[in-house]
This record gives sequence, C-alpha cells and structure tokens, in this order.
Amino acid sequence: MARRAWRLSVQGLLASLACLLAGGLVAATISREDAFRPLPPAPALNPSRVSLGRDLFHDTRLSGDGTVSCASCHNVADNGASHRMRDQLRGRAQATFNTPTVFNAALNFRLNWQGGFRTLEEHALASLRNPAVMRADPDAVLARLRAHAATRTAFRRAYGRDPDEASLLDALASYQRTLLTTDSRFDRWLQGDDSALDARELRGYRSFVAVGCVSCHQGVNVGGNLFQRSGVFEPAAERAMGRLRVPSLRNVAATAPYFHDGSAATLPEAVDAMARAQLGTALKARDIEEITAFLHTLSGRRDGRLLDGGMP
Amino acid sequence: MRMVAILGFGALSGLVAVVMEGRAIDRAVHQHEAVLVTLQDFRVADSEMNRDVLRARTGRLHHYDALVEADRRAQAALSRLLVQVAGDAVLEREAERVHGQYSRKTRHLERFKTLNALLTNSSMYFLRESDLQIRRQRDPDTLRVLGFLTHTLQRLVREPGSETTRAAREALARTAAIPSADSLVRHGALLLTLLPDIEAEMSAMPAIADMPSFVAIGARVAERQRELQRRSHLMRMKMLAIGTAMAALSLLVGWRLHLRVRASRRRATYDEMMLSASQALASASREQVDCAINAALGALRDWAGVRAAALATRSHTGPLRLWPDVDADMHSAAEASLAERPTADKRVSRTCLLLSDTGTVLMPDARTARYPPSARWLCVRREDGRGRTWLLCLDRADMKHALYCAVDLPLLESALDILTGVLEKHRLEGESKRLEEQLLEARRLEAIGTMASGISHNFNNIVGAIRGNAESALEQLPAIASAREPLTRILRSTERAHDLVEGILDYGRAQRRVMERVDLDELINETAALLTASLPTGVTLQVARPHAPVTIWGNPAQLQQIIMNLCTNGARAMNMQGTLRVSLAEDAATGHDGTCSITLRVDDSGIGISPDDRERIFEPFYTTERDGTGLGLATVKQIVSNHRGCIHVESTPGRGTSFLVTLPSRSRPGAGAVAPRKADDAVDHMSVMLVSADMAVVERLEDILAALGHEPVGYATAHSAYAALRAQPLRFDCVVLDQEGMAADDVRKLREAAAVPVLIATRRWRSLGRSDDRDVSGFVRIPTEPAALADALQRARATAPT
Repeated sequence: MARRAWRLSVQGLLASLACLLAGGLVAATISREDAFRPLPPAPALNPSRVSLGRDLFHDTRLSGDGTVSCASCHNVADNGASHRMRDQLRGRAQATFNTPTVFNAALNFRLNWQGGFRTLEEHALASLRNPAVMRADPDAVLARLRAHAATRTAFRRAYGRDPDEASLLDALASYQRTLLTTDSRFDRWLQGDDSALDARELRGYRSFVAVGCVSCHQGVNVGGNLFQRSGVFEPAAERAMGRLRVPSLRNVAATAPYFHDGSAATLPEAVDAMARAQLGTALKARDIEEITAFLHTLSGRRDGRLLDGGMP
Repeated sequence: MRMVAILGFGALSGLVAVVMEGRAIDRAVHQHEAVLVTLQDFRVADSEMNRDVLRARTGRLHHYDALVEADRRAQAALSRLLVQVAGDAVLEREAERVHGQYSRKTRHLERFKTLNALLTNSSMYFLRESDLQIRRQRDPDTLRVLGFLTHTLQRLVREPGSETTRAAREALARTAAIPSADSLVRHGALLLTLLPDIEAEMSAMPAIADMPSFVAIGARVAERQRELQRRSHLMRMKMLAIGTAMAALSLLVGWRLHLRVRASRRRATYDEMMLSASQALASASREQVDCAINAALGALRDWAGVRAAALATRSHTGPLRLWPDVDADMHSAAEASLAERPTADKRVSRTCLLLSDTGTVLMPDARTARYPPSARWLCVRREDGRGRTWLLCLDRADMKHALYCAVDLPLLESALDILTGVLEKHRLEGESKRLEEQLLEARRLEAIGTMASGISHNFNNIVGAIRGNAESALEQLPAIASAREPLTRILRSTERAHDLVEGILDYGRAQRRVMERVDLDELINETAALLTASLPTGVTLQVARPHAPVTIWGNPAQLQQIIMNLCTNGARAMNMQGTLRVSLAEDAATGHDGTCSITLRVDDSGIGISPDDRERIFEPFYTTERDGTGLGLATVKQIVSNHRGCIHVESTPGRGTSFLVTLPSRSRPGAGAVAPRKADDAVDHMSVMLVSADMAVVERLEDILAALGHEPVGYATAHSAYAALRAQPLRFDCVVLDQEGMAADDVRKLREAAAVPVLIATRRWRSLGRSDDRDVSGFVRIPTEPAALADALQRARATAPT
C-alpha cells in the first residue's frame, strides 16, 4: 500500500516536473489564434497592372524560344502548379525540384524550395533567365513586347510608359499577389466558425498540433515562414537535402505529388513520412487519416472553385 | 541715387541668397528627418524582432510570421537608409556596416527559427512521452531513472551549463537501457544538442540599435541636425538684418524723393517767376528797365522767402548802383561784399558771399555746403569782363530755415545772369546808338571837308589873282607911296588865305589812297632833311630810327605830311625853341594775322595840351593858335585812318606833348616779301578823261575827282579827246562826257572808240535813259555832287570789262 502510495507520489511529482519542463519549453496548450492566422483578403492593386500581369503570366513571348509561359508550370486554372513530380519543359533539362504552387506564394517569406528569393520580382527575373525554365534574355523579351502595339498600349495604360524591366516584373508580381485562395473552412474556423470543422477534422487538428507538425507549419500560410532541416531523424524524401524552406500547407490536398522531389504521391504517405523523418515518431493509421482530413480543410477557393484535389 | 540703387540691388541679392540658403537648409533638414525616421523604424522593427525571438524561445509565440514581418520592415528600413545616406561617404560606410551586421543577424535568425521549431517539437514530444511513460511505468527503478531524466533535463533547461549537460547526458545514458523509452531518449538527445546551439544563436543576435555603427549614424545625423538648426537661426538673423536694411533703404529713398519733389516744385516756381520777369524785362523800354528789374527782384524775394532782394553793380571807379535803391542796410551790405575780394579760385568769377548782421564776410562750409545759421546777407557776386561787378543780395533777416547752397545757388546765379543780361542789353543798345551818332557826325564832317576842298580850289585861284594883282600893284608903286601899306596888308592877308586854302586842300587830299610800298626809315630821312631847312633855327630835330629798314604799305606823300604836320605843330607848341624828337619803333607784339605794328613818335617839349583841348584837337577847324587853320591835326588823323592806323596823344601841360602814330606793317623786316596789292587799293585810283565844252564844268569835275583821289585829264572838244584815246588807248580808266555843244559825229566816234566805261554828264534829267545811251555806263548830273560822282565811278568801274 505504502509502496503504491510512494509510486503514485513519485508519478505525480514527475508529472508535475514534466509539466514544468514543458512550460519552460512550450506552452501546454496552443489555442487556435496562437499559431495560425486567417488568410488576408487579396490586396486592392491597380487593376490594369494586375490584368497586364495575368496576360504576361500566360504569354509565351516571355520565354526565349516562345514555347512556354509561366502558366506552363504554374497552371492557375488548376492548382497553381503541375501534377508532375518534376516538370520538364520542351527542349529543357528536367527541373531540380517539384514545382510549388503559385497560389498564396506572395505570403511566403522566401520563394522556392531553397528559399533563394525574397520577392516575387527577384524570382520572376531569375525564372526568365533560368535555362531550365523560361530560358530568355530579359532585354530580348522586352524588345519583343515593345514591338507589339497592343502590348505597348497595355503597358502605357498601366505604367504610363513603354515596357521596361521594372514594369514587366511589377506586372507579374502584382498579378501573383492577387493569387490568394480565400474562404477555406480552416480560415472560417479560425475566424470563430466552430461548425466549419467536423469532429474528425478537429481531432486531426489536435493531432497536428500535438504531434509537433505545428512547430514548422504555422502562421498565416501554415508554413512558408522558416527554413528547416530536411530529415531530422531519418531521410524524408528519396533525395536528401540539407535545409529547405518549409512549404505552406494551404491547398496541400490539391498539390500532389509532395516533397521537394515529388517523392510522396499521396497526402497520407507524405504525412506518415514527415512524422517519421521530422518528428521521429510513427503515427497510427487513424492519426494519419484524421490529420489528412484536417489538411483538406486548408483548401481555399480560387474563382469560386475549391482546390481540394477531388478528395473528400 | 546710384548709391541707393546699388545698395537696393545688394540687399535684394542678399535676400535671394538667404532665401536660397534657407531652402537648402530646409531640404537638408527634411532629408535628415527622413533618415531619423528610418532609423527609428529600423530600431522598432529590430527590437520587435528581438522581443519576438525571446517570446518564441519561451513558448509564448507559436508562429514566425511576426519575426518575418519584423525582418521585412527592418530590411525595408535598411534599404531606405542606404538610399537616404547616399552621397555622404561616412554615413554610407556606417550604413553598409549596419547592413552587414543585420545580414549576419538574419542568418542567425533563420537558424534560430529552425532550431526553435525542432526544440519546440522535441520538447512537446518529450513532455507528452515522459508523462505517458511515467504514468504507465510500474517498476520503481525505471521510474527513478525516468524521474532523474526529467529532473536533469529541467535543470538543463533552467541552468544550461557543462555540469547540467553532463548530468543530462548521464541520465540519457541510464535511460537508454529502458527499451520502452527509446524515442524519449532520441528526443532528449536532440534537446541536449539543440539547447546550447539555440543559446548560441540567440546570443549572436544582438540589438542592432545598440551597435556602434547604428549609434554613430544616429549621432552624426543628430549633430548635422543641430548644425542645421544653428544655420537656420543664423539665416533668420540675416533675413532680419536684410529686412531692416531694406526698410531703412526705402525710408532713405522716400526721403530723397521727397527732397527732389520739393526741389523740383521750387524750381518750377522759379522758372515760372523768371520767365514772366524775363518777358517783362525784355519788353521794357529803356525808361521802364529799372521798374521791371525792381519788379523781378520783388518776385525773386517772394520766391526765396527772404525779407528783401536787391541788385547792385559797380565798375572799378564808379559809384554803387542799387535796385531798388531804398534800403540803407542793403546798401552797406552790398558795399561790404564788393569790398571783399574773392580769394578762392581766380578763374571763377562767380562766388557766393555771406555776411553777418554786422557786415563780416562768412564763408559757407566747404564740406556741407551750408551757410552758417547766423548769416543775414547772402550775396551772389559776378564780375563781367569789363571790370564791372554785379551783386544779387538777399536779406535773410528773420528767416527761420537755412538756405541750401547746392539747391538754390545755381538758381540765384541764373537770376543774376538774367538781370545783368537785360542791363547789358540795354547798355549795348545805348552804345550802338552813340556809335551811330558818331558815324553820322563823321560823315557830316567828311562832306564838309570835301565841299570845303572844292570851294578852296576856286577860292585859291581868286586869292591867287588878288595876290598877283596886289604884288604887281606894289611893284608899280613908288617905295614911299602911302598905298603900299594897305597893299602889303592885302598881300599878307592873301598869304594867310592861301595857307588856309592849302590846309583845306591837304585835308581833302588826305582821303586819297594811292598806296605803295614805303620804306618808312628812308622817308623819315628825307622829311628830316626838308624839316631841317624849314624849321626855325631855335628848334633842334633829333631822329632816332631802327637800323633795319621798316617797310609799310602806304602813300609816301601822305606819310610825309604826317611827319611834317606833327613836327610843325610841335615847333609851334615850343614857341620855336627847343628839341623835337622823331623816333620810329617796331612793336614787339605781332598780330594774330602775321602783321606787326610800327609806332612813329614825335615828342616836343612845348606847352602841352590841356585835357579839355585834347578831346578836340583832331576836329577840323579847331585851333588854339591865333593864325592856325585847325586842319593840320585833322589831316594827320584822316591820313592815319586811311592807313588803318591810330593816333594817341600823351601830354603834360607845361612839359610837352607826344604824338604816337601806330601803323600796321605789312611785312616784317627781313621777310622781303610784299603782300600783293589789294583789289580795293587799285580800284580807288583811276585816270579819268573829262570831256566838256564848258571849262567850268571841266574844272569843277577835276576838283572833285582830285578830291576823290583820281587823276583827271580835261579835254575841251570831243575830237581832241578822241585823238588822245586813239593815241593812248590804255591811258584812261573811265570817260566822263558832257555832250552839250559837241559835234554829234565826234561824240559818236568818241563813244565808239572808248573801250572803257563812259559816264554821261548832263544838265537835263529828262533826257536820261534815251535809246542811244544804251552803251553808256552811267550818268552824272551837272552840277555834280562829289558823292554822286564817286558812286557813279564806282559802279562804272564795277561793270567795266577787266
């Protein structure tokens, strides 16, 4: 009896110690407002510039050989990316990384998997020059644009001057800043709509927080605001990488395949692999299923179309 | 005024410069303020970042958006700063340094975020797993190990250090033996490595705002700002100074303009006043002049605002004349001013005198040109070229304000000029009238002389007849006849009559002007010889003459007569006893036309001439001697005038008299050249053929022609005249023809033969202008007037072919 009482007291002491330890490291519980914020409304930008940017985004004249446009990899009619593991454009080498979606990209603190670009403009210019992507000379592109009367008129309407590098990049960036996918159920829940998530999804959210996914996937974009080691406990993807920009999980249901090399074909696969590699834990099938259900609530709408990849 | 304009321009440019400087300062202040705002933005973003790092580390921040946002703002502020400090090398360097520091900090920040995410994750896992394990565990040893692990990790978290790390590592090693705690150990091990790393990253993220470079930028900009404030203050002071200067300048300009307007008003009043005064003066007759001057002075007095104004004048010797002549004070003041000789610049005859109440002369201040306030009399003085001094006197008694010399003096001087000008004009008018009268008198005398000479010629014949008859009667009478006495008296009377007539003839002949070159020296020699023979024995003649020949242009006979007459006069004045001195001197002074003059001087030691007589001695028929003709000196004067010379008398009664005859010399001695004969000299002398059947007419014309200086040759018939013309065609210059009683044929031949002008003398004026008289050159009436004949000859000569 005494032995039992001692054991209970030791257990209670240790439990309280653990609580203290956890308090020293992280808060014991995380409310919905602490780690996440709803998506802001799309900024009110100059419509003529946005419109010009949209046209340019789909304009193959921006590529060196006139065969591809930005939309060749970033299909805005679909998920803002492609469904291929790694894109290969005609006459070019296969891309090193899986194409991230352009949707909500404006909210990422860095762009691309390696986070090499701070702004959309920098990234656009680099993509134009990239031989595996647009393979173009910006000056030649501008000369082509200037040679076209209608394009010139559009630039003049938007910028009051003929096409130049700054206006070209600004038009593209302006358009991309409007590519936000609002009105996801998760956002509605964050804004106080308790009925937006059902019980299973809510359980999935709690697991997401409790397991530790939230350590990296947090903030307005549910990720996309820090770098993290890829494969802390074991390799996450087929191709190991040192440090990668944590991708946003918004619309993640629609952007398969996953990981920088596209090695995870489905979302449950990716969740399982992430838990093993990054968290050093093996999730139960039910947890995976619930977390996957939660991740579907991150799908927003674009032009009234829900981007959830056709999954329930 | 130019000075004011320069000052105004200077002030304006100063103002422009200061305003420009002010704008530059404003721009700089604005720039610096922008930099300060940027620095503040950066400081806020940076400190928020540091705060959020701590919050994230301590688990009070569960996302990194706040850090990303702070980083974005800090980056934006830094980029702005780099643009704003561009151009300032020091600030640029410091800003670059801050940028470098911040870039390092962001690298640490990213690592912190990565590590913190792992730490958060592992600690949550550790918390959950250890809690789970402890609750499930039944084995006390295992519980103790787990408890030890939890305890050591708690210590490690609270006091990171080598000792706690070692303890945690030991606890982990002991826990590793428990198979169920495998993942706990893995996460614990991860925590063990993460904790020091994250501490290192956090300590590598200092607050940039505390870094020296950032502080230096802030301090430097603040220092600049203070400097700008100082400059701005200085600029305001400058603007104040310039504003004050401009206000003073405009006051000055206003004052100058006011003075000018006043002066020009005063000037306009003056002009108006002087214009009406001048008109009144100009239209005034000689009698009204004084009245008009008084009126003008009254107007001047009212204009100048003085008590009285007066005009005064005095020649060297004459008495003072004053307009208006009523003020005794003014009279004495004018006297005092005239007595003061101007000692200043001799070339300036105008001067301004100032007298005190007591008549002391004061001088205006040379520097301010103002009169002393005590001055009562202001006299503007002017000396004309004829030794006359004019004064315009103003009586300033009871006057309050001072007169300004610079303004009023020229006006007063011009008023004086106008007044003296009017008086001068009237004086000149009087002079001209007097000269006219003199000229008329001279002409009258000349006519008398001419007539007298004409009469004398005939009278001489009569006297000659009486004399001849008286002489022959005396010869035929016996020596004791009682009739001898009256006859002798007749003879003496006829001698006197002859002398008188000769004198008159000489006077008439003096008008002849047949000129030639005469050596005066030689002439004096000849005359002296003649005089020595004719003068009484008691008179000694001394001749002083220059050694060089003295040549003049003149008539030798007339010149000789000058010497003869003067010497005869002198001898008479000495009562036929004493010394006569004749001297010839060439004047040193040479005229501007290249001529020089020669003075012939005759001195006697006689009784002299009284001043009253001296005025009249050259009048014809004026004589002081009982038996004088009164023509000797008149003839001399006439001859001298003909030779364009002049004669002066110097005489002391009782001591003697000197006559000085000055004659122009046509050529200087040694020059040799003789000026060519002037045309008018040649014109004057003519050979005239007189043709008349009436001998009385011939004689009358001969006398007149001789008196006019011509050579008359008379003929009784036209035939003989024609013969003479044929014999000597160039003998005559003119023919005077009386056709009365002549054969018509001879007259026609004579007129045809005459290549020279023919004058017709006629008694019948009605016959003048007949058609057969077309070839004649003119007409003279019988009896003939000398002036008419001279005129006719002159015109005939003018029309003659040369």
